[in-house]
Amino acid sequence: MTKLEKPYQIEIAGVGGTGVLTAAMLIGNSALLQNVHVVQSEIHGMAQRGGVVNTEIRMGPVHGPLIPDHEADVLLSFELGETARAMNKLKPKNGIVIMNTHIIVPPSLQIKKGAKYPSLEEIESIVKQFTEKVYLIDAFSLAEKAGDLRTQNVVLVGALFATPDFPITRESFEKALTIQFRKKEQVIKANMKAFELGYNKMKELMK
Amino acid sequence: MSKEKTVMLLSGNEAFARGVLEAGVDVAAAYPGTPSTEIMETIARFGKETGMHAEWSINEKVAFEVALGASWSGLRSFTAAKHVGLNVAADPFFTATLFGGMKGGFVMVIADDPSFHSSQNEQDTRMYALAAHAICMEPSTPQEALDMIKFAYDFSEKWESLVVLRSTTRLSHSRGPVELGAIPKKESHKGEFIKNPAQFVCLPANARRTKPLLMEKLEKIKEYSNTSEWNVLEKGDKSLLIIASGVSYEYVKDAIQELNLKPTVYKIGFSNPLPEGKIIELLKEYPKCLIVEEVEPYLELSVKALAAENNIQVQIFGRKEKVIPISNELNPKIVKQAITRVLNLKKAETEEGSLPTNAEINEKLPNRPPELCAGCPHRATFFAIKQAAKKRKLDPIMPGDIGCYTLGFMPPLSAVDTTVAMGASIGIANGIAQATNQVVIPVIGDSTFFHTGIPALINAIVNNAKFVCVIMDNQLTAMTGGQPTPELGKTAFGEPAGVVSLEQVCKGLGIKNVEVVDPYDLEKTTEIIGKAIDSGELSVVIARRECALEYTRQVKRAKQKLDTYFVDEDLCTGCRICVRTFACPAITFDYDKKKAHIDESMCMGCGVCRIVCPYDAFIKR
Ligand SMILES: Cc1ncc(C[n+]2csc(CCOP(=O)(O)OP(=O)(O)O)c2C)c(N)n1
Ligand code: SF4
Ligand code: SF4
Repeated sequence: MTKLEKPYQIEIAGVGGTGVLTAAMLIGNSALLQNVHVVQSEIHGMAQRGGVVNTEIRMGPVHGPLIPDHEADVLLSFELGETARAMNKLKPKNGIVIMNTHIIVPPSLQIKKGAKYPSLEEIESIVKQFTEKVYLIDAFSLAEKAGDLRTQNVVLVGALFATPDFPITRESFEKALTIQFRKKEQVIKANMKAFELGYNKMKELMK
Repeated sequence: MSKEKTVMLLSGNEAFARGVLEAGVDVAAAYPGTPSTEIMETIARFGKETGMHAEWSINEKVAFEVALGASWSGLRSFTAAKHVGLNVAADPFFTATLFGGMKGGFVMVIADDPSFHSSQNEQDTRMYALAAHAICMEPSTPQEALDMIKFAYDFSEKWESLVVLRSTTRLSHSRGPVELGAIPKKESHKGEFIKNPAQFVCLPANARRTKPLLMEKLEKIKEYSNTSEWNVLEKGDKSLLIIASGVSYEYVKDAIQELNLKPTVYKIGFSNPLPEGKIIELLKEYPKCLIVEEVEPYLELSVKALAAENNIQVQIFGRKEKVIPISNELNPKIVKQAITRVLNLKKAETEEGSLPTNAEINEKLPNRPPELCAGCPHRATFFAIKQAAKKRKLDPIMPGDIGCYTLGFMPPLSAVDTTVAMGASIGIANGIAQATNQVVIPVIGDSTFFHTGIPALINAIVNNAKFVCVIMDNQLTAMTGGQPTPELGKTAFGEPAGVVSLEQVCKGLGIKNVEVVDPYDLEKTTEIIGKAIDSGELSVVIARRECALEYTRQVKRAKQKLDTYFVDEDLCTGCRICVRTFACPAITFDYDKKKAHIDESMCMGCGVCRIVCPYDAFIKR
């Protein structure tokens, strides 16, 4: 096992059907390929019907599968509003937030007359109370560019790998991807492209 | 050259399944239920090559009995269920643990659901094990899940006893590195049932003779428990003894690492019978003891009793002292706070105080409850029932059941008045029909009807209860991920199997009014349900249409296109009837334009909105 000096912890927040679980598998397997100790937890009771889905990934000297509140190094959010809901997991001040600007409006909101989904500014104002390091990624457009809308999750994983001190290499990710989508050449190609786009976007934002 | 180890990132459930395969199990049977489902799913994916038999049984009781019969025939057998599944299997479970005779190892994994993530209660399987005198073990990590199963098979055969492995959501649905062993190569083979009525026929005389033998056996196993490799003592300083089991033990490790403390930790992996001797010995050495476990104070009550019986002066802390909360799952923070309190440590200064809390943030966000999918046939069926009732100015009582259609309780459908347990819709309908003059329409899914619905329907016939039972037949067990139902004629391995038809079952029982409708044909469905209500007789309406999620998957897999709908904005009057009364998640309302809109990436083309809209504004693309 490769030793990490201290834990590195990632909270992923999203909605059922946005590829949260696949993204978590890819990150976890990348770590394992590098012999880094990793544990992760997922809640997906009724995910297929549009509920909240969160996963937590813990690497290095850790034990249980849950990230204690206020200890995640990164919050990777797949849906704008869900970023706010998961903020309590993040390290205050130093934590990094990577958030997708894409929104998924819960259908139940439609029933109430005139009910509105919170704006980007409203969500940002909540998030910024916890940390200054907030990075917005339009994963929807980047996935479109990669040629497959389903790669939004990997665009965000690409951005994650571009964060400073991220302990896992791109090479490990690429290996994990090829193992995960064995033989599906097209899928692998689109995902590699998506990863690249997310990675570069994040580097640019951090400049 | 040393052989390379294979390490994979497995979930607890996958690790249980791998353990079953590595133990060379011959017969595995289960009924799905979160958080246990993936165990059998994984066995079904990889088990065929091993020559084993694997099945989705009709309910947990039958699954248990399948495994018991196989074990009594000398084969290694397995069953898994969610915690409430054990309620269904409890009757044979209690007797099987009493009579034993497991010639082939018999191991059962029960997954509890602390925090009610996808369940109606939080019951603790260890309490069942205690009540039934069953051997019980608690793994903490996916690696242990695999290792313990393999151990449990040898142990089960040695003592001819059933072994229960208790999991929880945070083990079943967590991943960790797991070192794999080999899966034995074996030919498909048969066992032999050797008759022995004194052992297998549970007459009172046999039971009377067996009970003392069981208690003797458990005394011996208790001796084993005291030295078991699964009960691990990690010696630390003398300030505090922590006793923990399952995933809570991992939280203890996280907490003491963060607090930079070194208390002594006793990890319980073998939880029934408990290592009483060892616990007594330890209690004498420490001034304080903290017990950390999921759900009920199972360890706590036993440890306190041992301290009292043996006059040991030790302060014991757990749920009773409110050091550990009485409801919901634990986490590292709760454990940290508990240790801090028990040791009277000063709380570390944090900046968390000034930050908005979860509750404050949630107030600003819309809720995101799970919803019936776009195009879900259940939505159409509920809508038709409501329409039929409305036309007759009735407000029928709708006892509901457990499945995707439970979500029909949410507005705007608000069409589920009770849910209790699987199959209970029809049972409760019997009661309400006998007790009131109200119109009663129980709704139940196909899988649930086969699981425990049928006896209650027979009950209605023989006791003259009158109601309209609507069976929502989406042709699979959707809520738990789409396992086959008896109508599909498919085994767990996907091979052809016998078929049972819902309408034949209902007609065979002697019910005269049995109709099959397609809920996407909303008008016809409304009419048929209306007629059934008018008849005043016991009736069954089978609303048959494939699960929309499954249909969408198949169309996409075949690389075909869905016939989606769109809104003709010239026809849409902005009345909002579609979003107010029907609420397909693909339909949104644009308040600036005052027009409905269809998100065509979500629409699967059921066409029901076309009938719901009074102005024919929904058009097929
Ligand atoms: C005793 C018990 N076993 C298993 C479950 C888990 N479970 C919840 S719903 C369901 C099946 C639902 O299937 P069906 O009735 O066909 O409805 P659908 O979800 O397909 O609409 C199961 C197995 C449970 N809640 N209780
Ligand atoms: S999974 Fe199938 S049955 Fe369940 S809500 Fe979706 S469409 Fe309906
Ligand atoms: S056709 Fe209408 S009701 Fe059916 S899925 Fe599409 S928008 Fe929803």
